[in-house]
Amino acid sequence: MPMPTDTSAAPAVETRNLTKIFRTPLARLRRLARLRVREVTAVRGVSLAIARGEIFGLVGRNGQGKTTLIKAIATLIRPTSGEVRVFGADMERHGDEVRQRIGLVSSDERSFYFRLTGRQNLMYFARLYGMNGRAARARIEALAAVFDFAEMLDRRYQELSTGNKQRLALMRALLNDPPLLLLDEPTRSLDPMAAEDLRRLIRDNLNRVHGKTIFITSHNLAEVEDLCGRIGILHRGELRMCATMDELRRDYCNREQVTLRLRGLPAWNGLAELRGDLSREIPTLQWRPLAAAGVAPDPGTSAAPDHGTPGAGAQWEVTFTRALDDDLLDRVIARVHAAGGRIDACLARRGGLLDILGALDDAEPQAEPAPPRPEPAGVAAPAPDPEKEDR
Amino acid sequence: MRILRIFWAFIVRDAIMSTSYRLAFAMQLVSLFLSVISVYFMSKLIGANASVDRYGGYLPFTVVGFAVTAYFTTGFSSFASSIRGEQVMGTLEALLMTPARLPYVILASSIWSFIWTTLSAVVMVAAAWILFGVRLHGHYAMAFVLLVLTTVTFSCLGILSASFIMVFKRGDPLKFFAGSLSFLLGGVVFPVDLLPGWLQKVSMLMPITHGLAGIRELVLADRPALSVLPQVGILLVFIVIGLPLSLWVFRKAVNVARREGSLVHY
Repeated sequence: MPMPTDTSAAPAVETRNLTKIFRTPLARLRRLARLRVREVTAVRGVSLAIARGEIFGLVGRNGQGKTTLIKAIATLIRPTSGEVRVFGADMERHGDEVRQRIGLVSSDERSFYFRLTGRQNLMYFARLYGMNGRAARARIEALAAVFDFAEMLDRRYQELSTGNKQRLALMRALLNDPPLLLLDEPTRSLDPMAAEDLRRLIRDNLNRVHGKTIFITSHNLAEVEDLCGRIGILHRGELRMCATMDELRRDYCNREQVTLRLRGLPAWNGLAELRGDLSREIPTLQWRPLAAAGVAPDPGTSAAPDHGTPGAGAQWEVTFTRALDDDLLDRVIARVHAAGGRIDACLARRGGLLDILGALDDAEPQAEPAPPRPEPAGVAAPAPDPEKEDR
Repeated sequence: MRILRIFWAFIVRDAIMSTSYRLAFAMQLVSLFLSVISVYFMSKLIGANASVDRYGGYLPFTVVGFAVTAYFTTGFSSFASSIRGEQVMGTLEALLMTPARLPYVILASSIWSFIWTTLSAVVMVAAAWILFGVRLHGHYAMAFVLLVLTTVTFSCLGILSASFIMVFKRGDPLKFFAGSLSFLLGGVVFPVDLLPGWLQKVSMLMPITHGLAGIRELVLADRPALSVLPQVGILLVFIVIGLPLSLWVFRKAVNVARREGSLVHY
């Protein structure tokens, strides 16, 4: 079946109401035999559009459906209902063509032949992608240069380090130069430096230089915040949020933690008065002594009475939480200046994905994925689309 | 062109992996010689027998039986073992992520097994010739046609078996039919006419019986090429029904595995 021709305006990935329910194998036969059928809804009604050239990140706790979603897009798992389109092509009707446009990097090391070298593995997959020997060799050399892998190419896969195995997986995904890369936890098991190298490669080379659309799942939230233009959060199989990091913060985590480093505060009673005033105004305020001119007790502990104050010249660190749109920071700075103090440094840590995920958990205490639900024999399950049963 | 690249990819991959276990590779070749020698001494024990005399004796009868049956066994088992191997190694998803079409992948995954079987058959026949003077003669072209047809019928069963493995991972019931039962009823190590009458009728339902009998008639008994046309017809019937059916069932099995998300399970 030919590919639809007018797909240029279509998003790189589009899912509509995608649902995947895993049932006990051979559920129909088991129902006929009046045996129990278990069901787990891994992905529920996910509608999502990823633009061409975008880096999109998907996060969520374990078992929330991230890998299921990425495998459904990769045509490796058939949805129970809903639709997946890749560059406008329906994966059900144009599976082979869709696969030609996708490079998948899974987090599983067991996707290569251990006794073959990196080069032999890549040659094998290149031929399956329809490349002739000369083109495949040239492509592998070019990728090895980009990935700094030339010296490793002729080592057996089983002898490669985890980081190099991951590089090889990325090289394989790029063999036929697909416009879409699906990366399922690509930096898992990598050391921090190797992970940073890989992130740089993904962002600077694959996305910025070569314009690849990248769909990434990761448990490394900082990585997702750093790499991705938009982020989706899967929670219990549902896409709860999908926006830029700034939008997510604005809508779901409108607070930041501020740390001020102070010096030149008055000694004795002046300091106690300032602390008292600020603590009444800001319940979250915490004081921590830094380098002191004299003894430097922590004013927040009972072991250090308020009057045990260092002399002038001590350094303090105060930390508090504020809403992004309040004037608390201005007021604190004004009070410090009014008391004769100076501000050496001001650090603000805005709420991140972890805070947002935490907020989701707080909103719904049952954060674990839904347990398998036993279904009595003969109970009708949600009917899958019969068109999807056979290809 | 594309299908040739896919076939070549599998041949190169499997050749490298097989020959990387050098000792095992050499031992397999040596064991072929040893099996021919064993059959020679069994033929001494059995001596002259009317059932096999027209084939030149028990040794040529059995060597041809072993060599040809190896093709049938490969036709049956290579698809399932290839799928099972990909499942266990975890490479099945990566394989199915490529745009290579499924029927090509299935066929290509067994090519190396057939090459190895050919090598084994050549070594066995050569060993029988060099050590004991067993010579094949007759209508090789027609024998080759019969060999291909019978192997394809076994391949149909093999693809059904692979479908079973794709869904259930282990415990293939077809293995019994194509393995033990074929060995017993197909006339591999003794002529079918030694079986009781009713079992002879059962053996006629098995493709191996027709293929093996026809090939022996052609390369050991000097029968004319056209004398095996009935066997050719029977095997074609098996193929016309079995090949589309088995490919359809395999496609269904892959869809079941995709639906259940069990491609990487084993």
